[in-house]
Amino acid sequence: MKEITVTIAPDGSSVKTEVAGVKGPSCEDLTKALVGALGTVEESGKTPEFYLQDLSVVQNSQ
Amino acid sequence: MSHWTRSKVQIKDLGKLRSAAEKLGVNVQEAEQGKTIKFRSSYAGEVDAKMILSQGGGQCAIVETGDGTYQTIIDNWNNPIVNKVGSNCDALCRDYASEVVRHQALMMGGTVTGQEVNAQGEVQMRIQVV
Repeated sequence: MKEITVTIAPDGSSVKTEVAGVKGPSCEDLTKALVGALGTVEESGKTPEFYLQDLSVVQNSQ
Repeated sequence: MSHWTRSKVQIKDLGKLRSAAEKLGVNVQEAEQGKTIKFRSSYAGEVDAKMILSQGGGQCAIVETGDGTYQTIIDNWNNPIVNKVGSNCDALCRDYASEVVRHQALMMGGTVTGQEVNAQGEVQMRIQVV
């Protein structure tokens, strides 16, 4: 199950989205439309979970 | 958590803004397609509004910025509509963002499983996608 947590600032000026349960770049695809509809990205980041799928691909290829 | 994004909210969808405004209990007057409504503000002067919100004798306006987005024009001082839309239209903008999130959740086949206001006054929404 993929989960997105959206936190809207009290004055409605900014929004933070956090994705859980998705490994790899598809994580960004999941929220692309949501973020685009809300406004413009000012800052973003990835956690170790983001890179898990990439690591498994590397392991399989060896 | 695998990825996070912080975004600046821009008003892009007048339909969602109208919906948010109506849920706050204000009257909405929207300009016809391709037209505007004159609105006078003490600090912005006369502006061409796409939408005027009114309640209790107070008003605020929504104007097009030229890049496909919209901004709010409101005089906070002694303006009864502030009780509904918030100072600087904060409550309206927050509820607009919430409307957009709910719509996008449906578009991605997801479900909003929770919405609450935390101690900091932030609106937190959780979306589950199968």
